[in-house]
Amino acid sequence: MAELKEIADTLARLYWARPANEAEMVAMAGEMERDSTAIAPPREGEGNVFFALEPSTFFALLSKEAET
Amino acid sequence: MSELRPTSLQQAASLIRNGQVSSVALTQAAIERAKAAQPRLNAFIAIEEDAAMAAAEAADRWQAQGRPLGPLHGVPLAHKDMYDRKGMVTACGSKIRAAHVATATSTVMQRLEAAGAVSIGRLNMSEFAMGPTGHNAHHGRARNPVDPERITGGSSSGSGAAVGAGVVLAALGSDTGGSIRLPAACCGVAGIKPTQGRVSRHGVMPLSFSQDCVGPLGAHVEDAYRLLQVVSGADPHDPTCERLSPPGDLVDDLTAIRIGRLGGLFETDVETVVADGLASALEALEPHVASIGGARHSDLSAVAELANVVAMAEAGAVHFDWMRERPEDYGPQIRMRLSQSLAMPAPIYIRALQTRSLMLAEFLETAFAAADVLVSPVMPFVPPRSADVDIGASPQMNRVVSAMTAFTRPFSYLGLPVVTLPVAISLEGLPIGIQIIGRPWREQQIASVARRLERELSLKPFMPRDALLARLA
Repeated sequence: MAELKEIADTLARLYWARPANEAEMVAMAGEMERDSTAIAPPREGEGNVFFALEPSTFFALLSKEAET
Repeated sequence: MSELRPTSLQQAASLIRNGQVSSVALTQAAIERAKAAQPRLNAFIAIEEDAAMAAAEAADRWQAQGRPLGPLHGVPLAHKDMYDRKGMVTACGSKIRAAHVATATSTVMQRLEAAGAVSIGRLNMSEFAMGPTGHNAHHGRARNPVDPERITGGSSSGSGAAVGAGVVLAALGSDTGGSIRLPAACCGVAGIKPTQGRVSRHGVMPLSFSQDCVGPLGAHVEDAYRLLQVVSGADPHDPTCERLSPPGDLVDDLTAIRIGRLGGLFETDVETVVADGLASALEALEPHVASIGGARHSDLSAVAELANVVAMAEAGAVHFDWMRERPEDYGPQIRMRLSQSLAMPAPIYIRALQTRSLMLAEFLETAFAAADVLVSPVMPFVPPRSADVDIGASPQMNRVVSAMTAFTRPFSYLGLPVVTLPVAISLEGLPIGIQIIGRPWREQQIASVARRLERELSLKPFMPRDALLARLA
């Protein structure tokens, strides 16, 4: 956690040109922890399913439903 | 029904149309109710009496000249503080935009004005529409008319409070992760989160481009639906708005509709009183539909984090400059939440967007295979006490946000339409709300089911807690 808070503060200084406060560092560190386990791993049982998947597919699906 | 306190939008519009009451009288009565309730509910950020009375007078003059009248001609409403009107302030419940004067009118407000509606003020909201509890560090929280110690839910907190208290019959809110559905459920009113892309967002405060939806709260399902019909439809100013006509009128015949009760995540840690409320609602609906059963569907437990990444990454882009230059002007919780965006690498954000299309395809294929309409609670618990969830920028923030939005976020992430309505009252007198979820663009179908359910349960608009308790007694 301490290391992640340090990263968070570095990101704030780099992109926002200011230090992160304690609450921001905790929130950013928590986000990195959660995303690294919840979003980073491949979807179970599947290969690189995202290789050729455009995010706009979502809206294409909605539009297709509008035609039915 | 008093002529100055009609019980539905349709009735209010009819009274004016038939000359039984003027817009001026109806608007003045709504303003008086707003002023009287304000010390108790804090539902408004601004009551715009002069502008409202001028609009009401103009509506009466228009009618006197025998001109054609819109479906909401002269009816007083109020809306969340995030819809631009030319020359008027839109502050988004914030300090940063407190003096922002809009240079153009949003499409939804143009449509409401064209329908003849009168706006009596800007309603309280969570700062920049971030916050499912409805707390606001700058304006104070709106209070729940059912029980002021309880939260209104957010972020459309003032919309829930004003409609719940009967100040106005309907109001616009907005929903990115539950912000219409939670206040509707907490305050005991109806709410509609439309399909992603159903309603124009031109001139509307952005939070998360991928998930923001404009939608109504109403005293009854029909009131909310009428407002949805007025504001929806294609808009050349918003290319993300689907080129569809507004949804058609509600229907009575539901005999072909198959209802599916969501399981898995939606049955986890649900309080008994909430589960019982849903069960009694389904029992009331059963004679009128083709079937009711459990819906098989893909696992949505990962949605909370995915939806949060999409919402906060996009909100972080919207607020980037102010987070760099004016961080101290945000409330502590909003500043904390926005900071999360800097800790989301671009591939993680894009991965969350990619997963969205996979999950939507899976969900449409599984959940709607044997059901036309799905149901679940809005929240797993009754509306919490404010003191229990007023966590500011504490490390508990993420836990509270996740708990409040556990059942609402999945349908923002999937872009599906949802109608929320109260179906029961707990022994403490608190409303229990359910969600009725449909395939994309099926607002007419789910609202028709909701209206039937509302009729079957003979729900009345929720009154303050004492009256509710007296009725229970």
